[in-house]
Amino acid sequence: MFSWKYVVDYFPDIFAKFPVTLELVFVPFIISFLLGFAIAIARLKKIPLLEQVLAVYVSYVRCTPVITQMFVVYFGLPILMKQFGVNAYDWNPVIFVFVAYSINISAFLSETIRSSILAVPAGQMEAGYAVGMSGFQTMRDIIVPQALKISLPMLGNMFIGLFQATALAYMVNVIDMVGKARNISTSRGHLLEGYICCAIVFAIISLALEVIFKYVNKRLAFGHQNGYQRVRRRSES
Amino acid sequence: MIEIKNIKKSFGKLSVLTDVSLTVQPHEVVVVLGPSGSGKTTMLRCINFLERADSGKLTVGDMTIDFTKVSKREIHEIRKKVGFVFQNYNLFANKTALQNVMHGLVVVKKMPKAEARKKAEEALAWVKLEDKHDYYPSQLSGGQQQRVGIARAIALEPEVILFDEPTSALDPELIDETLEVMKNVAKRGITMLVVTHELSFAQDIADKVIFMDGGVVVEEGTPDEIFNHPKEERTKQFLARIIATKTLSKKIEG
Repeated sequence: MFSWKYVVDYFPDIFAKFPVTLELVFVPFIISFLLGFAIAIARLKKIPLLEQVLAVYVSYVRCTPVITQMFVVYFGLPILMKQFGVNAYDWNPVIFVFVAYSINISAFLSETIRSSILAVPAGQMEAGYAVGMSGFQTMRDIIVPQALKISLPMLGNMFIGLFQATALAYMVNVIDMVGKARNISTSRGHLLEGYICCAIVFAIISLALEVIFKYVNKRLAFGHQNGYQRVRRRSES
Repeated sequence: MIEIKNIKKSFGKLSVLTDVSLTVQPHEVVVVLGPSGSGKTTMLRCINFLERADSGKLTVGDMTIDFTKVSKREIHEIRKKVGFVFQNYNLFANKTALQNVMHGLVVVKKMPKAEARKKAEEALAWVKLEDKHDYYPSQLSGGQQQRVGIARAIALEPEVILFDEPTSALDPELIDETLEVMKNVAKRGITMLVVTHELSFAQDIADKVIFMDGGVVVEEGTPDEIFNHPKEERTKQFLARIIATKTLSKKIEG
């Protein structure tokens, strides 16, 4: 029988694993952001060979489910590392999730960043040149900030998506919140309650993230919408 | 001084500039007229390497380059000597009016921030936008944006400022405020090469008028020579049509 009492009972144990979930979100996201940015630039610059390799990489990742990618990394990486004389069989399983999600998210992020850079009007680059800035300076000061602003809603969605996808990590024996819930439910016989705990945490955090991203999006409006009122109010007072 | 010699440019099979030469002396205002597709904008863009000319020579100040063998460094140097005002303003969308003017001073001229800010404030005051420092381009009207664009070009103190149809994207009412600012730029003795359809500006301000068509310079001379005594048939046709349109619109207004 379902009982809220068990939900309350299990909650502290399950929530204690929340830091693991955070780690599973932040580490891959930061790696992916840097990697995805580099991939986007390399493809936009059309560096020969590298561009083709990256195109295949991106399309492989986008065409296979994340769970298969995770298993491929989990079982494949130790075999690969063995070739280099490294024993990866007793690595912490968290590392495999880091690698798998970094591969996955970086591919999607690279496409988001690439399209956002392309979405910045060509006149912005020309204006940078006309002022006497180099291509790199214009990229750094003008194009990339605008591209990030354009990609922000997508980045937010991906971040929240990744947060929820961490729930799969228990499949390679990572004890995160879901892993803990599974352990509790099998050992104590109440299957539903532990997962309800997880659902509550995921829902609250996802909603909070959505609010945060909306706020950041507004703050970065470069004078659109709310920014307009902000300047107006300042000059009127 | 700025001098173009035998510049050629084609896009695929379409020849846009077939051998154009022109000279702009220091402190001179040269206006380029011509119908759409005559190559005047392309010529301007070639001077700033926003378009790459196929051949010809370019002199800006003490620097002469050959379009067929110009290095990246030389392109960069030329761009620093040349200011550009765009038809659609192209202000940096992520920077405020003040930052738009300041940015080049800090990044390109390596000016200390305080000094750059002072200079940028002066330039904005000069285009009568001293009350819009903290406005983003999206919060400014077209005419205001274009004036920021002009301030951005002036602040860098280039050898010459190129104007690419600076009023073509503006409402008739905003054209005047922009032309007013351009007239002040001219009075300041800044060398200007202006592509425009504003005949009144050419008549009042230009030292020299160049009429282009089909990728060549058809005729050049003082405003008086071009407007009152054009020699070429093509120039007469073009002027007649523009003046006819102007009279018509005046009739409608009146």
